[in-house]
Amino acid sequence: MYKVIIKLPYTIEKRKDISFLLSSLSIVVALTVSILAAAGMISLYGEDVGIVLKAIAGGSFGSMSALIDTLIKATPILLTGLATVVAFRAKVWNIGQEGQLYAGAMGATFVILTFPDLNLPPVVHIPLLLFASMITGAIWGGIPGYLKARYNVNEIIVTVMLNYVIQYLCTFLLNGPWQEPGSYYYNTVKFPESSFLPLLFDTRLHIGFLIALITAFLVYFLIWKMKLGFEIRARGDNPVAANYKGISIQRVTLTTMLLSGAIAGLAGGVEILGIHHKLIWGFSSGFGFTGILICLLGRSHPLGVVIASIFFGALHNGSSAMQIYSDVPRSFVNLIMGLIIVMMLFWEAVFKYRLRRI
Amino acid sequence: MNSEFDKPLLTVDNLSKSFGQFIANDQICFDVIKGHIHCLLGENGAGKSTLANCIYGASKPDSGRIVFKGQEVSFSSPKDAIRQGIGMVHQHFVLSEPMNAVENIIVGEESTGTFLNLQNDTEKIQNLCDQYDLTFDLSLPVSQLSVGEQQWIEILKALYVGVDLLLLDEPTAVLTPQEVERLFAVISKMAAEGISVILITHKLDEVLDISNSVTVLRKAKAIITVDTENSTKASLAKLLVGRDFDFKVNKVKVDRGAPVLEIKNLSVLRDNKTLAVNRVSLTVHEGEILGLAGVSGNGQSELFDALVGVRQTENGSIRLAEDEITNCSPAEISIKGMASVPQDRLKQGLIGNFSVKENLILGAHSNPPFCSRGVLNWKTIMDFSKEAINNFDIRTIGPEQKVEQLSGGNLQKVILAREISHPIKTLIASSPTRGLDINASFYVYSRFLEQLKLKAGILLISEDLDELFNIADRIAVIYNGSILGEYCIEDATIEKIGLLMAGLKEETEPLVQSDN
Repeated sequence: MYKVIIKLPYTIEKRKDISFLLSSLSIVVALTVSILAAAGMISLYGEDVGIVLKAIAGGSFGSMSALIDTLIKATPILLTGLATVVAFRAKVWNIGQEGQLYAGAMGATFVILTFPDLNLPPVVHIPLLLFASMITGAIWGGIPGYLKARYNVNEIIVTVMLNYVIQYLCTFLLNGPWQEPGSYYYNTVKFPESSFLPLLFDTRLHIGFLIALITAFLVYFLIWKMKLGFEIRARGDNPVAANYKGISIQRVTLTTMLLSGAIAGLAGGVEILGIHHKLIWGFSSGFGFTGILICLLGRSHPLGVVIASIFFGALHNGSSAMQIYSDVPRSFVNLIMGLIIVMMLFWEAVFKYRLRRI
Repeated sequence: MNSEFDKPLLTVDNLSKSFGQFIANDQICFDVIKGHIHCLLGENGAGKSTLANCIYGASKPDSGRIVFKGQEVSFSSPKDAIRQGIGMVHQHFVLSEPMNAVENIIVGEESTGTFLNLQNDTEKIQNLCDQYDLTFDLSLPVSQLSVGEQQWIEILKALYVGVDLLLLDEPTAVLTPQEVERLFAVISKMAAEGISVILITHKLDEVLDISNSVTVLRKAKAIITVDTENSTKASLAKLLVGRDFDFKVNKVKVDRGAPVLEIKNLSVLRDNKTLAVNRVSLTVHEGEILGLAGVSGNGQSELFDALVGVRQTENGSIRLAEDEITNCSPAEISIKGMASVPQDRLKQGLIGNFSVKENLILGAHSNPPFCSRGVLNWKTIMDFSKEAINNFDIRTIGPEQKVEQLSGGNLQKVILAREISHPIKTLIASSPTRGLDINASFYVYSRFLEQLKLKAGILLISEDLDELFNIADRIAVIYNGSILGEYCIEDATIEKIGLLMAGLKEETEPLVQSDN
């Protein structure tokens, strides 16, 4: 009995340092492989790959109005992505962006419905409402934050459960006290015009996208230029050493959740004040959860999150065009998104190693 | 006796293993005879666990041979080792808490097949229990069993698959004295049945109580293998702590000044609420180094934690010069002039993923000039870092390099640069030269001596007696959470300190142990 042993002149070893270039390369490889795989599936579906890809590209970036729609779609997930960045940099596993987004939307709605006769000019009214969104979002993030900091309760479980709590609370309110009188649907009355987010350049693009971009810059500034960001990263990278050097882990945990919740809350406020102009049932198509994917795709970096959210916005937007020009259903883009995430994680792991000649 | 019993069952020949630059095992050789109980005796960090993992197949030796049952073996995983008849009981048990003993024992067992026959297995295991006089309820979930009983399950697991060699890693660390007694009875019985046992420990009593032979490990090397019957506690203690002066520090004696650190009647609890530090009183003066010797795990790390403020004290007081610092926060204590060098550099001292400059300001990051109104002043930080890198000769590409890429000596320099770049009153250092080469160690000492001239006092917690005899002015010994004695360096001898470290006040008269 002979055993055939093939000895390759290479050995696999772990890289000590992964350069920025290599990290970017892994994203490019992941995207390429995902698009190729998607193209393969489209042709299996019996459709012309060229037409479908062209439809997606055209529908997302092909015209001014397509581009505007892409940016509108990117706005809420950019904000929830940033909320995730803040939390994940501290390794506080906030999975409750969806709930905090709901809380934010409901906070703004609460102020509008409770004080219907404010008659404030938009310059005052809009900041007030967005502030309310951030406060309620922060409260909804602060609850798990406090429980984690004070009693070491697993924040993943609490944030996930609170997502359900707030969504059912929202359903109840829209089906009861907040429902527009005489309406068959679950929605509030239309908000006063002073609460509408102003539009940019005479297009449908509302100021929320700008707010999200500014937030991205502020998050960048927080994480790398501020003491709090330093402590957030310290908690994430080595809480033991951070504790030895006098950083209160509990305080940082709570602050992180408050901040993350506030940003996710802002996303909720921006979405209803910018698009719907009322609170409607199901106004979020999982923006909170998409934010987590955006954060992963953007490598927990604000700039990466901006790019990733526009990319996801484009895919979503392009899917409508794809459905018009071909028989591929819209939900196909969800498959592509999933594929991209899996590929990213896969190639990231692969690029951690290298071949070395023996 | 059967001749088979005299043949070595296991031979470890020139085994070496290193992790990066750190050498864990350096050309280790020893034999284990069939049916013998063989101890691996050594301090923490001497390389015992690494050696055990190599034998058990959990890690692969870099070089050297392992011969088992007359055949050279090379295990790629513990599974291979188990198949050949080598079992191991880890310090931390790997049991499924909601499952009962039988289920835990048969889990992963290859002969089980697709369908369980629990009745059959229970019978077999019950027979094993009877054979070794183990009486406990096999049907209770593991979470309801005592630690000792959980350990029996681990041992039964090995017996059930039929081992010829069983490795036990610090098996008594978690047991009460009564449980230790029962465990030793089981081990002796196994040996009588022809099973060889390797017992990893740093307790001298255990070696003398139970083993046939003992290999002493020190600083990654196997110093010697001796028969236990020819050994005494004193001779083992001497081998264990050893003494080989590689170099001598030029120490200029500084006049001792006022007390800068006064610890009075300090008691501190472990995480599991048992007493780790028991009424310890120590005083460190300006310009002196007080060495705290002791085998690790005798309360040193809890004492360190209490002094720097990350662990609550139970009673007693700590004063830093004029300030009462008992139960103050780490930040307050550090501002009042306490510097600390923790034992585990990358776990407790530094943030590996942070750059050199970020680590250099860790702790001071919220104070001017590094920070104003919550915003970090990176320019000042950069200037400070460049200066510190220069002053402390930190070998790095630059302030932006992540510290996890630095060598051990440079890691320690980063910590020292952070801790003593500004005036301090007291420095507490725990094993500051562990894993460092001679040059790096010498550098650390020179920095310590420089602090003495600047009127600081130093508390040096160390297991390394060479180090203590080299630079300490006084040496206190901690055992089981209490200070057993204190000597001026002129009166101290390696024998006296070694015996105290083993818990013996005098060579002839063992201390009454306060284990319970």
